Amino acid sequence: MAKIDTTLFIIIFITLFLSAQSFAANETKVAITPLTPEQLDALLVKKFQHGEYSKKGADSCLKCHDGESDNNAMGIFDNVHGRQDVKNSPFASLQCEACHGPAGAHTDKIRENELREPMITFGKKSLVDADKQNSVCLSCHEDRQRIAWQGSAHQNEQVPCASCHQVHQGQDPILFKQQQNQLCASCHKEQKHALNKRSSHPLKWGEMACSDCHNPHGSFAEHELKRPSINETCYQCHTEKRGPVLWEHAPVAEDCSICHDSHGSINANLLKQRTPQLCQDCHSPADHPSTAKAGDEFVQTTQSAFSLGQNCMNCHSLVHGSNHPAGQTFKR
Amino acid sequence: MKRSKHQRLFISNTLAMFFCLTTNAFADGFSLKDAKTNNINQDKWLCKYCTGTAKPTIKITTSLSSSQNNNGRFSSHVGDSTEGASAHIDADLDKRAQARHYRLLAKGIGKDNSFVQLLASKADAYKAVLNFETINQFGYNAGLTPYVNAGAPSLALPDNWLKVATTSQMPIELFNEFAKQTERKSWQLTLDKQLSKNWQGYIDVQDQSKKGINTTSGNILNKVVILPTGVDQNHQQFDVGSYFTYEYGAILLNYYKSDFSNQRSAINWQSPYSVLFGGAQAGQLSTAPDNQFDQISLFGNYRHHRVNLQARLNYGQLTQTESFLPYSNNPFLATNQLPTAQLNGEIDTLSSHIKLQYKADNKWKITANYYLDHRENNTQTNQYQQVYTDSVALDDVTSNRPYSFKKVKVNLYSQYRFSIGSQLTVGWQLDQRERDLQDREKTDNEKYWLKVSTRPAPFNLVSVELSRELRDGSLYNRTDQNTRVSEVLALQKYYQADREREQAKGKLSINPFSKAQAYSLINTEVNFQAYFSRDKYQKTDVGLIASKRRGVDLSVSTAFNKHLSIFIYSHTQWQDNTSQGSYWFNQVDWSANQDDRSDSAGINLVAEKLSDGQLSLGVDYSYSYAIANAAINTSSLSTSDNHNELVINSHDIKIYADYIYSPVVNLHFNVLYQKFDENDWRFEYDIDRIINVLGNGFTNYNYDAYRLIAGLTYQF
Repeated sequence: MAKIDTTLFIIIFITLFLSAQSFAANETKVAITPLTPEQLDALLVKKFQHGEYSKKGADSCLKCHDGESDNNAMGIFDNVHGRQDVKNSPFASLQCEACHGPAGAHTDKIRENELREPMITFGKKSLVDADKQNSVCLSCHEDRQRIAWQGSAHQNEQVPCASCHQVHQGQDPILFKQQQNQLCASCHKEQKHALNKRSSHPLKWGEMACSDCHNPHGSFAEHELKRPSINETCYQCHTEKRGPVLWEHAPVAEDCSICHDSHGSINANLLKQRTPQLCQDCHSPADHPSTAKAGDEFVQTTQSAFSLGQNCMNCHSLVHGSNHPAGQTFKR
Repeated sequence: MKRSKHQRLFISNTLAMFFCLTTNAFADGFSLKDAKTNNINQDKWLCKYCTGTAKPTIKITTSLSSSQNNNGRFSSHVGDSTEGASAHIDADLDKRAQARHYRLLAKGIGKDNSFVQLLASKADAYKAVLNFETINQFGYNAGLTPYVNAGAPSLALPDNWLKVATTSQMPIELFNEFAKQTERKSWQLTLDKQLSKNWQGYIDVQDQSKKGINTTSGNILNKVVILPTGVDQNHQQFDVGSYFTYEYGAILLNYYKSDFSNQRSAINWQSPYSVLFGGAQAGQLSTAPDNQFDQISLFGNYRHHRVNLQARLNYGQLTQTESFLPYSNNPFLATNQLPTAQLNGEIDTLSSHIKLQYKADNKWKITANYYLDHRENNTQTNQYQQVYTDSVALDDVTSNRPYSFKKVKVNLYSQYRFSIGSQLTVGWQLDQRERDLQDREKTDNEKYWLKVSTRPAPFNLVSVELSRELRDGSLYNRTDQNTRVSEVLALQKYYQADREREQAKGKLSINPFSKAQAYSLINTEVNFQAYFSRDKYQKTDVGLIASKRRGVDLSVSTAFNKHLSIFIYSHTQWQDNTSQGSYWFNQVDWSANQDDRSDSAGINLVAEKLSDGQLSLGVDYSYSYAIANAAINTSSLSTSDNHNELVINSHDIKIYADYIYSPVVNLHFNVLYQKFDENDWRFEYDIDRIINVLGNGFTNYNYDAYRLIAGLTYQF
């Protein structure tokens, strides 16, 4: 691993070095001082209140933001936002300016050192306040899936809708599982790392999506889970663990995350620790004396049923609970 | 709670309030309903790109694949277990017209894992979505077992099987191979209907079946067999609700029903071992019982001026009435009569969440959350005879313990925004848990946290989060162990034990050349994250004593030009646990340090719109590595040693190319290569190594596999 780390750092260094070379070559150009977020906010509010819209609507905008542009917006016509036959779509009313605000003088010719009149822009790189960006989207999209947006984790973290959603593309990439997982992982680095571990839910290759368990728009449960609790979320797929059973294993009934790391683990079955250590965190040594042994010789030669295979669960196989009248030790 | 802790909360909130009174508010937002459109003249708003009736788009992709050296793990990743050549089809049929939208989306038809979606919607009227999906989980495909009918309800040995005392005496030539694999098939129909301007209703119906073969262990006295057990389960869910919006918010009422049924009510198996000390010839395992869950929920929110109130109330009932199996299926074992023929299990659940947010202005807000999660287990308590592994029946009886839990969480935090992108949040949280029939009836976990994030140039983000937690509770009283630990030794289960937790997290994002003109510089972004968490368990001598997790993440992305971009990332995590144990029951005899390290790293290189916009290429490489070491000091034996618990290496390479051959034909090419190597001594043992545990043979998932895919998309 050390070699790969070193190689990666060398690549990162070369990337930055090459970038710096081209920086030196272009430094002579005069940079225009951009507006501060507060100045921009004041200007946009003023524009919004004055309501000076463009003369030709979307046709003015698409002279520049067409298929040849870096900010190509033509994909919007392939999704519902660009439909005029849908009553509440942006293009049924103010077209581009429904979301980006009154264009006013945005299309006017500008001199070399002048700033083009700013519009409401979206995304995490935008200087527009996230809540204000989102107020545009929520004008139409405040439905049952977003009932808990206010005060949600993403709202508190000032995450704009457009940092995840792409309305200028025909198909919003986040609606595809693998692309959604990659996007979530771009901020949730620890979870991304977990998905690369030996045992994990099948998110890395897109068999599952983050939104199968979480509602990124906010929920009424911890961790923005879709069901009211951690266990109820797990039971959607692992219903066989739900019970009630005659002999319950208390931590199983209380909270699956006491033993499992839902995003992934280097241990088998997404366990937080390897067994038998995990079991011994609660069950040692009252019922079984525990003699910890180590060393390569032990590992290679032991025949112990307490160590190899499922170790504790070689016998106590129904560790999630048993409904057998003689199953109080989870063996039946 | 202690007075000093309240004081900190009070001070933090007072400070936040002071900031609030000294600031100016931003405007509220750019909601469409507030747009000033009095002066607008739309006579010339022609929108020449707008289309009233779009023609349907039909895209069919046919792909040919070839997989080599397939393996259960690799098959699970690519969603297909076919070795050699295979074909699959993807389809996307889309039609939009007159405010209506119809779509058929199919992926991987012909593969083991596939997905089909049918959608029909009309704006402001209805939306219906039907999904069908199969997800397979493949395990090892050549497990060994003496049973001739792996997966059957009654596992039978070959007719000529001779029972022996140890695994090494068993005839390997009579063993059969089986594949460990489960398949999930799920159907989901969701129908949303706009009933009136402010009133919507929805129905969501799901049916999920799981079938295949898994493994579990059966044992008689001290003899164990890992059994290839059949899985045949079904889970149906039904969710219906109605959603009403009004001027200040919305109300949602819904009913949820979940019905789980298991076609296997027992697993019977013959023991391959010779009978020992009067033990049984065969065993019987119980399976997950059928059960039902009904829940009714009421959600609501209210927004007015500066107040936002949200509330949720759920009431549910979980029931289970499956008939019991007998104490034993051993005809030679005399057992008592069961106290009842079935469990009549009943659990009432009540959960609630109330969130109140007060926004003094756009700079300061305070939020209070109250969570309640109550699981009241009303299952009848009876006394059951102690019968061990179909072999020993004692006169002793044991009562079942229907566990009840009550979790209350109160969370208060205050957030102050200095400017756009810069904010300070301070919070306090109390997590209180009450448990019935357990070692500790009540635990209180208090947490204080602070988070500050800002964007000082040239950084896009600088963020630091600190927290400290303290958990204590009522008297710890061991109730569920058969024998007691010596008075001088304390064992507190780690999820109930007194604990001190400290956490820190930092994030840094920088665009180092943001003021440059060059394309590659403007788009260069460096991200760094580091986190640290330390748990110290107190008043416990045995079990988990301390735990520490640290991690570092570094990533760099840049776009060299409009066509070429690269993303490089690396993440390292360390997880250290310290445990102690006792052999002699009167002192700590050993301690163990389990040090785990895991790494993941990768490069994504993308070249887009090459060759006049017709060609896109990409390479994704990811690497993950893990090593776990256990160092054990056994003071009673005066020994100290360590060993590697596991070492895992995994390389994934994906190369892809998409070429627009003509306006109607696209070509795709994919190569997926994966090399996986694991070394985990616990799972890698020969079938006869443990004399009294018959496993499934030496298993690991080491492989070196690849899959080639060539596809053609035709757009009609």
